[in-house]
Amino acid sequence: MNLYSLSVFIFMSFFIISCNTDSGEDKNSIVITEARVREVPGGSDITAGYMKIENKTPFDDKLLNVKCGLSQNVQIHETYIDEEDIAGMRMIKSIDIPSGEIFELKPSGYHLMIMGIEKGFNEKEKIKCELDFSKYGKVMVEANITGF
Amino acid sequence: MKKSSILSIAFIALIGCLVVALIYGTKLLKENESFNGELINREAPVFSLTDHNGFTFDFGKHKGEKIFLMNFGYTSCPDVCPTTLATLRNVLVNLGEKSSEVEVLFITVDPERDDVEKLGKYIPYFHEGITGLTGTSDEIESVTGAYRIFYFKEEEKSDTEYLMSHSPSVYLIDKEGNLLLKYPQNKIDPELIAKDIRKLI
Ligand SMILES: [Cu+2]
Repeated sequence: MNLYSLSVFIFMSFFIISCNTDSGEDKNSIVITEARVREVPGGSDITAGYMKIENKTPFDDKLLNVKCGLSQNVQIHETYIDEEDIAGMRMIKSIDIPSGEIFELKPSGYHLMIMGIEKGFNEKEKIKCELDFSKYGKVMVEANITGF
Repeated sequence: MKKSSILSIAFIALIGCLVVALIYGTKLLKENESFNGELINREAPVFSLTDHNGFTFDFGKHKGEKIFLMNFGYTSCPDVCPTTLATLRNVLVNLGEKSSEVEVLFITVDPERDDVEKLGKYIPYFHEGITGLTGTSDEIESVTGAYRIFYFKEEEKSDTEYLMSHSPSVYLIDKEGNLLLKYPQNKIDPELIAKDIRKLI
């Protein structure tokens, strides 16, 4: 194989791989990426989870509920920081995700408030979470457990 | 050209050089004095609390020994508070050997849940150079009052499940015991804070 055919081969395989991830099951679905949950600091039984939720369906949808493994209760929270230098969290009933849009849960913004963490959580590499959408139904994700 | 006119041109040039040097010099000096944090510069109030190992921490005795970075929060806060603690740990890491001249204080605004035992497990998770402080509700009220920190309990779901709101800022106390700088949330960055500390050490 000469250099030219090798580079064509590499280019083609990249092309095929990138096509693959973008076709098939992703279309018409809700796609979750960068799902991660923070390790629980000692003495605490609460942590936060973050992710990107992309609504590739033709319908506007709503995230209603979340459950995660090795924890008792998950809420959707919004962190707010106002001009008076006050930071706090408020519980959100649901998150609207219009068709074609990406909603990001990220530090100092929206987060999954994961409470009642059980033993063995930090020893895991990933934790399973189930997201329940109003129209699309349930989506399972594996969130990486990350340090700080 | 007359000798005297050459002399006067040289003299004018010399004055010009001096003026430029003076302007440039003061500018340099000013840049050196400007910090990434917002300037407060008043005497740091003293207080006495209990550290995460159960010992009395009398700030009046430690003030002036080191540079202190101070943050108020609570351990049942999984988003903002641990992010700030991780940032302050990164400041200490960034400073390397010089971190021995800096102590981070994390003062709880939730003394009901954040007792010595809880802080004793939580704080060392981040860094050994961080001291967690708790006290009675009155003690916490008095230190937060002195530092003009706002905090309040949100609607209670139960005795043990509630959210708090509080000032997320980080404060820097210099080696003269002055409450010198404040870092609001958007300036809590390890590089920015470490840079200021290097100027002060
Ligand atoms: Cu929360």
